[in-house]
Amino acid sequence: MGFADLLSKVFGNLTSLIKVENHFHFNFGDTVSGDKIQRDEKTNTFNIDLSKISPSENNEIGELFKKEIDDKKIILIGKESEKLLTDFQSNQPNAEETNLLISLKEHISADDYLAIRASLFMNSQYKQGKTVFPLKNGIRNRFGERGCHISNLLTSGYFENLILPLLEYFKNGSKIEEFKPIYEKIIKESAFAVFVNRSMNEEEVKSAVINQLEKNRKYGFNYLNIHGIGKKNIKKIKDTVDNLLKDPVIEKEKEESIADKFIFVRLKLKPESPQISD
Amino acid sequence: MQSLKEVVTFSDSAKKQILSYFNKDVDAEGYIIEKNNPAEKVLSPNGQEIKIEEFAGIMGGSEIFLKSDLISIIELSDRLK
Repeated sequence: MGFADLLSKVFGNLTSLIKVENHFHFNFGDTVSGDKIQRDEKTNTFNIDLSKISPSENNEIGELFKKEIDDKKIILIGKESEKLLTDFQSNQPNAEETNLLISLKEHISADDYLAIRASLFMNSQYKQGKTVFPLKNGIRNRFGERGCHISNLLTSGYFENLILPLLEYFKNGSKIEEFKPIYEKIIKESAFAVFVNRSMNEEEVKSAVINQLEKNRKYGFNYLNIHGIGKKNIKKIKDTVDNLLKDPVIEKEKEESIADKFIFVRLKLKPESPQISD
Repeated sequence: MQSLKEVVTFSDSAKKQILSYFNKDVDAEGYIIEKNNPAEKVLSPNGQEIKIEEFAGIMGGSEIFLKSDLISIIELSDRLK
């Protein structure tokens, strides 16, 4: 016996109503009319106001909910949460995103994987012009700053343009064990790093580096990592760094390149250095 | 896995009443608690305490209490597959 039939045993006058329609939905909450039960024609929903039911109906409803939940016959879910659930289920990842998820899944933690899925959905909502602040908050509440870093990296294209190619490179070279430490470095330092992409010219790279160095200094970090992928970006980074090193307050602490495909440069501010010149 | 066939929704105004059916209450700080043991807070599947404004619902399997954040909703979606 379905939930509707069981409910109609509690509220006898529902029986005639529900027989009219095949598809209907039950919501427990206020009714617009102020009646105990009201049918919303637009959404074909029966709204039942629990504050207006009798004590005996209240007992029966409580027993009904408990039994149906225990028997896994129904799920009780808030209206807003149901909307988020159906939005999530109807916004499936596209082919590129699916490829990203499949490729990363076995190489990252379950939490990171979940954060990426959430970020992909958040991104799709943002592109549809919807508010995403509560969604980002949800990621932060569960996964903290790491979740936010992952979200920022994903929406900025770094998973697609840096992390995934890195993974493919290490997989193809049978050096997959080298992926994880670099992945961790990227995630942990993302808030304090500059990721150079093809749309940035040298001036923009220089400006981003100077701004981030100053920002990092305010947080007590006197260094900055610069990441880049591809020959053109590598050249851009090297040329920019050579230019920046003319400033006596900046020094290069480290430079690592991987097969001329990826580059990481760490710049350091000398102690007690004044503001960097442009 | 439980299908989405019988989904029953509730509005915010019905939250406390629905919680009471499952012997749950809300403490002074807004956390959902066991009515019979107010010192015991109700936890989500991943062990987090749940505030009334974060309460998203209940599903079967030892009465799982759901939170409304995006991650919890994604986990719910996976459970329902």
